[in-house]
Amino acid sequence: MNKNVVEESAKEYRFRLNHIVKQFGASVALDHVDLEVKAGEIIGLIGPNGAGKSTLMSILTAIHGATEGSIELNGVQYDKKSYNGTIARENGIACCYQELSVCNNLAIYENFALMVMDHKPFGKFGWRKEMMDLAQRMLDDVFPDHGLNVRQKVERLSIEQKQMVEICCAMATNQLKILIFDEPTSSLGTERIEQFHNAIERWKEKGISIIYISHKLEEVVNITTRIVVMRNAKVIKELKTKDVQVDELIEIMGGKLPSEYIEETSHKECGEKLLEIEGFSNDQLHNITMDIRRGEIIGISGLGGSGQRELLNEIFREFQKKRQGKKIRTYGSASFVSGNRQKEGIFKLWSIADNIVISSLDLIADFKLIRKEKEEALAQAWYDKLKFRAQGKEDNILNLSGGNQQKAIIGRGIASEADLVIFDDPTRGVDAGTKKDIYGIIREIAAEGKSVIWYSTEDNEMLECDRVYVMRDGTIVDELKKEQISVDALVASSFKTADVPAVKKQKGDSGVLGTAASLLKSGSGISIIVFLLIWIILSILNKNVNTRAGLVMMIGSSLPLVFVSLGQMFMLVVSDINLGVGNAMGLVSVIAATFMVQSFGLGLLAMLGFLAVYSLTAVLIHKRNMPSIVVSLGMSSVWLGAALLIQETPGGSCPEWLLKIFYLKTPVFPVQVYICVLAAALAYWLVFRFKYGMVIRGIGDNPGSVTKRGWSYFLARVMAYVLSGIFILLAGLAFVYQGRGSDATSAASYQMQSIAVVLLGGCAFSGGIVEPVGVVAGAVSISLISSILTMLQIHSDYRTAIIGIILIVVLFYRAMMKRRSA
Amino acid sequence: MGKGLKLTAKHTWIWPFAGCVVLSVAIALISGGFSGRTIFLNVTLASFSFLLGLCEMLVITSGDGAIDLCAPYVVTLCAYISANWLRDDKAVLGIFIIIGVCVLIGAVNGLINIYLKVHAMIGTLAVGYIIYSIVLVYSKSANVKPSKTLMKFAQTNWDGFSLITVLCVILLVIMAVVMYKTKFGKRLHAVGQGHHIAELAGIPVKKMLMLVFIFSALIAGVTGVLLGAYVNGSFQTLGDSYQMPAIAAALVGGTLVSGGRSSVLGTFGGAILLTLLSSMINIMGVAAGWQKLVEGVVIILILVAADSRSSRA
Repeated sequence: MNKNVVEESAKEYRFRLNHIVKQFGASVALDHVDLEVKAGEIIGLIGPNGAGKSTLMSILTAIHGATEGSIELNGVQYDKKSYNGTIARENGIACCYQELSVCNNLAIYENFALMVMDHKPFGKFGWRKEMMDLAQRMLDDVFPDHGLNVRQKVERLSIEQKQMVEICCAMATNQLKILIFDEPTSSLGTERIEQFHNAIERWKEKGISIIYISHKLEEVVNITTRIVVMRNAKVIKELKTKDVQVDELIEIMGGKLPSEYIEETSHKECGEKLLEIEGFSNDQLHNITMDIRRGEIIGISGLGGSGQRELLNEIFREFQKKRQGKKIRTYGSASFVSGNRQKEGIFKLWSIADNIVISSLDLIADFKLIRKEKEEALAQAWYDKLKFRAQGKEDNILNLSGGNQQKAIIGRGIASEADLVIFDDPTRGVDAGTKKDIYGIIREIAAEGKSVIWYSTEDNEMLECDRVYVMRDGTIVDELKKEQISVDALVASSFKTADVPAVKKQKGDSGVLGTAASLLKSGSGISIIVFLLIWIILSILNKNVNTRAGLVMMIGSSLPLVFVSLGQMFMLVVSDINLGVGNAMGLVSVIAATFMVQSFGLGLLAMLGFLAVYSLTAVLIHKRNMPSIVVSLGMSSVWLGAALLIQETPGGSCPEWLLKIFYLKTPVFPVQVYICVLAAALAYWLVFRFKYGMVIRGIGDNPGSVTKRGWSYFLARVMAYVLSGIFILLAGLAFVYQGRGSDATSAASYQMQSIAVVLLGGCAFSGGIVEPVGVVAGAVSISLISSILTMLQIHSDYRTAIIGIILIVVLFYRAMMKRRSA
Repeated sequence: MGKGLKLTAKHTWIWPFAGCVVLSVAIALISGGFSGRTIFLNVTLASFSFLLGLCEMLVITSGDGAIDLCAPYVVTLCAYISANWLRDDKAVLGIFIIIGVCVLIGAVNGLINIYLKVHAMIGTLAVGYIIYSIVLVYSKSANVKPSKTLMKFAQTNWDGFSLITVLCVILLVIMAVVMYKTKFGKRLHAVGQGHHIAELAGIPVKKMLMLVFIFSALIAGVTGVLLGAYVNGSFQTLGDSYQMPAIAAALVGGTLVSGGRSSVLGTFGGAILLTLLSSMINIMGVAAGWQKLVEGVVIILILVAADSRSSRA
């Protein structure tokens, strides 16, 4: 009986896509595509770039809605309207994306949590432990001896390790039924690829259906059971894997084998030297010795992450400096072509033409002025030569497919007439047709007497080279000459052990010094140290500082800045900046000093109204996709206007209940100190312990990937604004207490101070990196500076200069620490 | 329709100028008569946010979320220096001092940003704080009133059309050529789209950023000289009130906050638009609170409108 059920379900279709059509504007991305997948199948989905593979998968994961067609999932039929991301997730569809979608600022286990946890704001007690166990289990299972600590932050991992985490996250999905991999092995070494393929095999046994998208056809042929070939928005062929070979697949897709070129390439005489390196070492590279002559194509190979990219970058830098040193000598000029188009390649705002000519401005300019007709001619020449598939050279670069974007970057690199063109994995994620073109271009460059350095993650591309340097652990472990180059030889060389100088092991931190050192390294550490220093100086200058009255005055006066900075911090966490928090706090203080004094209810109502409008700016910023700086700039004026309308001249008074709070008799320390500590603790909890705090941090770092996992970017952002607004409310109240009344215009100076404080505290503009404790310490420090000056009898004129200098010193120090740890 | 949209998408400056026309008409209706003088006066008043707007435009266009927050302090400082040095036989030396101070400030900003790796927004804020302290100390012993010649120069006008406006137009043309016709301009727009990408394209990014900060400080310095003379003397917070209008003028004019796209003409239009707006509210004689509130709302609305057109393009 039981066995029957299993067999029954194995025969069932997991899903069936029927006549899917997808149009983006006028272009058809999918043209009546059908795809059926059974339980326990591994489907290889292949085809040239722009064939529609990724689009088809985005229909299945409901990132895009289909224009026409229906979807049948686990026996239930959905039409194009009723299907959505929630249904996809509930049916156990997960996708492991090509562009890494892990959040760098979160711990490994938190990335798992974002993947598998429900989307309610609060987690069950002990969920963190549970998630750590899960992450550990998954990693152990898929990549034995991975050597990762699940509490580690992802940003500390190598790109290979990140991809391992990415893969395991996808594989950990609840009730997993259908698992999609889009180029999963692009950064994995051979050994890890093998482990990964073994794991997929085991998952298949469990009845999970796997769709494997890859340009690495050998892998597809090795592990899949069935292959679906797409081209021009259609499925052109489906075949059983066991009946097919790589060559045939390439032929079906319309490509040619690279091996055909090898015979075409003739031996050539190599010219004078362009580059000589003898025994060069730095942090990542060890004892590099190599040379390049004119007309050569030099391959750089080896296991992923063995220092190849560092070497390429170093060479490019040396050429730019025109280095003529002892260990490195360059002759001529170099240009760089990266395969990481989004981050290192294209200028997104520009046309193809602009993207091509930017490195050749010296050729098309007389003195400083660019000559329009020369610019046009140069762009047109390369546009024609590289056979772009586009409407014209004025087409925006983003309208092109990946392969055509790559052509523009290559055009840029060659047009500059550099003697050496450095290629960093130029065929990454590029279709077979364009690859063929790129091989051709590379050979042409060499034929013209220039040289090429070519790093590739695909071993068979190295067959194109005259010589190949194989790297491991930042050293060159082998050099293969033309006749010796073969995939087998490359693999063999890749695994040669490197003679690497032993890495200095970090001494275990111990004792007081160790604690101090680790405090210095942590994000909020410096800000805390600055605070302690200032406090010590204050205590020395004036004995009364540490009395109750002293604390009341010192800490009390810093409370507005503490709260307003925490408000700013919640903006930074979603990588927004608010240029209006100062005036917003001013408005709150005006409300408190007027309405709230008249009637608590009225005041509360007005404050809630403020909070609502404040949070609504998140809606405007998010829905209209506007920069927060701009909106908050306008809102700053609105807050000030509203405050002036309520109270034109300074006045009002502090509400009774607020005074009572600040006059509370608390043990040991005055109430101000407790409020300060509570503020830090609350903010800390919200950011690091609260489940939704984790989501907000994740979104701040990598919004795309967190939303793909079903979390709402919009909700997270609104949540961050609400939290920020609440801290602004508290700031306003503290401000009223401090001034025993309100003044609409006096809060503006808090604006820039809050930004200074959050950065001093250890937060970053880039989003997702926040340090509540550091922020509080920073806010108190900055407030205390005026007290120090008064005691030292230095005129308060110097206050801002001292803040400025502290800021520069601290941020410089932090940048140094970051560079050292990188 | 399609053609019109394309035109405005390519020439973003059309929008602020269209807004200026609308506001001019509104002012004419409210005040009960069109007067060239009013318009010219507003254009003159707008000069200062335009000039500072150019500083912001330059720095913002260099990308990475950079904004120059010290420009207003440079304005104040240079206004004081000009009041003390740009007179009589010291004038030539004074010009060199101002240029020197501005280059120094720009270079310090650049060094902090490039070599100390401090974000431009916070680096310039810190430098601004330091300059502010210098202003506070310096202002105690300094002359407040610029020389008569300088004031006369800054206040010269022909029925409202001022010499300052002429200077602005000249600077506008120079900036437009620099930004859109030179290697520097092209490279700057590339840098703004990504420092790392630009570096790999062979652009000397550090040098570019350095130049941007220095140019910005120089323009701010010129603004300070003109502003101090125009308002009959400097005071400690002279430049402060221009910070927000300058950023707003650049952004309303079509400069992309994330960098890589700028509009010199648009910044000019944006500055005039904002000045006309506050004039209009002034003429209407409403409370100061309303004035601020309406200004804020209008800035947001303009940017919402600007955003929808650029995203449609």
